[in-house]
Amino acid sequence: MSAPVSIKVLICDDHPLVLEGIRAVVETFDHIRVVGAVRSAHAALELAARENPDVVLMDINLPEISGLDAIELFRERLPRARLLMLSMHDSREYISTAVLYGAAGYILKDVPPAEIISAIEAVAANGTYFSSGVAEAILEKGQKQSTVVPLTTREQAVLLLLAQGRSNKDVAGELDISVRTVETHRKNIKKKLGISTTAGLTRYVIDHGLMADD
Amino acid sequence: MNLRQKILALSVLPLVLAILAITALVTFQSTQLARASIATFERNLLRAKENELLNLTNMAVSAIADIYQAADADDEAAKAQVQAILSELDYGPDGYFFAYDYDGVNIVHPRQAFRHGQNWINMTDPDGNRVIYNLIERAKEGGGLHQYKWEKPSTGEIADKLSWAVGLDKWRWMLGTGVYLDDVFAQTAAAEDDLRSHINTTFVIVAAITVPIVFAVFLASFLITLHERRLADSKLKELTQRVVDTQEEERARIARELHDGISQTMVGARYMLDLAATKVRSGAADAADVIERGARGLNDAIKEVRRISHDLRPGMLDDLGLTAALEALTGSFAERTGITVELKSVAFKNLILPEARTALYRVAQEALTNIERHANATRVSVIITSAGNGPQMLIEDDGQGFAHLPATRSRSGLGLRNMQERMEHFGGSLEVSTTAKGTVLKAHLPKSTYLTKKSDPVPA
Repeated sequence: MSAPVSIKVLICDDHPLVLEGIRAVVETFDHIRVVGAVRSAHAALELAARENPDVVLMDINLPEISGLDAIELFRERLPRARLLMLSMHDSREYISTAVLYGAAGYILKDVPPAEIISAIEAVAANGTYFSSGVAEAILEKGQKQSTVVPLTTREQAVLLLLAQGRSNKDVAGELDISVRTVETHRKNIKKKLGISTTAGLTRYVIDHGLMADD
Repeated sequence: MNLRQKILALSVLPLVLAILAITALVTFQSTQLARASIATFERNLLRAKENELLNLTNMAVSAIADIYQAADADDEAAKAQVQAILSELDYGPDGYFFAYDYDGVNIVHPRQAFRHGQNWINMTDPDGNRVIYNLIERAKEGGGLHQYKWEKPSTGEIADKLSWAVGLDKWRWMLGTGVYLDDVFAQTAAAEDDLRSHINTTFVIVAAITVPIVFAVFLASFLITLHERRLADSKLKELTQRVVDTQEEERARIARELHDGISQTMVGARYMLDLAATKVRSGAADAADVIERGARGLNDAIKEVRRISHDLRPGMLDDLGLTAALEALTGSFAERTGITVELKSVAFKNLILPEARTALYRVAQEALTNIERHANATRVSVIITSAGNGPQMLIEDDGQGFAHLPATRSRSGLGLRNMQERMEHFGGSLEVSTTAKGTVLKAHLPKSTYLTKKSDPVPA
């Protein structure tokens, strides 16, 4: 089972018992090194900036910043890190949202320990991993055609700022991300909404009653 | 002022105003009429007096006619004779004749002897009327009436007097007699008193009619209010009872699920762990198997907890937003019922207040439950739109509607009311239109349910 490469793992879960349990399970494997076990997305981002983990095991329900929103923040700041979501929710909507936000894998907390290790290995090798129950949930309800691809939290924030007439640079400054990331978001938003111009984006925001009055 | 009082005021006020207006009009008209007839009465009375005076004067003139016509202008004996006749002529305590010469010197005054022989041409009554002068003027004109104030002999008080004066031009005498008008005025005043008491009576009658009517209106509205309040109270009680019942049912269900499901599973897992402990101690080889079986039991318990908690409140609503939660809801609905569901929503999430989000979700849940139970539909569409005037949810089905369901009306009516109340709580509205071809439910929330300042929901 042991591999020559060492995988650096960061674990983030707000429940101390679960956190310790997972850590204990993961640490029993020699080729995986736990670089940190923290209880909030803030702490995870901070620690990750120093430790540069290969895989981040992230709970979905976290205080302040949710695990889903944290995916986007990791994608922006540490694009190398692979996000493996750890959740109690087996609903299709959670899983598809996690994938949409950029998670590499999704496993339920009640899977056997061996499966957690398989998942870590799979995502560390640039693959994806969905635990048995999750895969079923996705397959089961099949290709449910959602009429609109929902925007991510970050994309929504970028859209609202752009609609106010802010420049890419402005938005980048406001959200503390690079101009290139803003560009990427802008491109994705346009693709999702099927709108090609910035004026069209502004129109869309106004039509949906989202423009703040101030 | 609350609504009830406003309605009461609105019904009573016009009534009172109308009655007051009618009373005023009737009073005014009857007063006018009475005044006119009193004036006529007074006029007739005065005319009768005038005729009387004329007759009296003619009588006096004919009494002295023989002597006067036979006499010369300065026949002192004839004058003395006439003077005596006039002094004797009398009709009642206040009826007498007087005579003055054209210069104002008194010749005859049977009641006031002190006036005899003196000149009264400049004498005035309390109103400044030159009484004698004016009487002489009437006489010179060939006879006429003059009204003034004079002392009434029978009472000794100053009273209005109307006199007729004729001239004996040959002697340059003015001869006259008068009647006192105070009795005429007294009669008029009595008539006016009558009128006043009539008006008072009218008012009393109107009041006697109005007061009971107003009172009756008040009483009626009070009784209606009381009845409505009782009705509302009983409805509230019914509703409270239903809420309590529902709560109890829900609790009983959860308790049953916890006890029969999870509790049993966990007891099983504990037995396994106990067994494993025994096996480990005795060094049995299959201890690990037993532990694994125990872990499986715990896993089942975890799944059960997840299911129950999801049933109680879909965490998705908070984590992923309304669209995702509705997707899950409609997905499982479609799977369970075989009804095709189409869901259209907006690309945004977390736009509206969490409570409003929950309300819309519960409305959708109730609507889908109703469709499943009654509608017999094959296709349902759920459409969420977001516009300048607030979020809106449209749920349409192609079922048979519920208008034909009198038996279940009260139940589904409560469901509808529940939905309505959820929307109204946020100042929104719920409209339902149902036909035999389907039902359309439109839930609308006001703009105030939008979350503001969501430009950066993730603190950097």
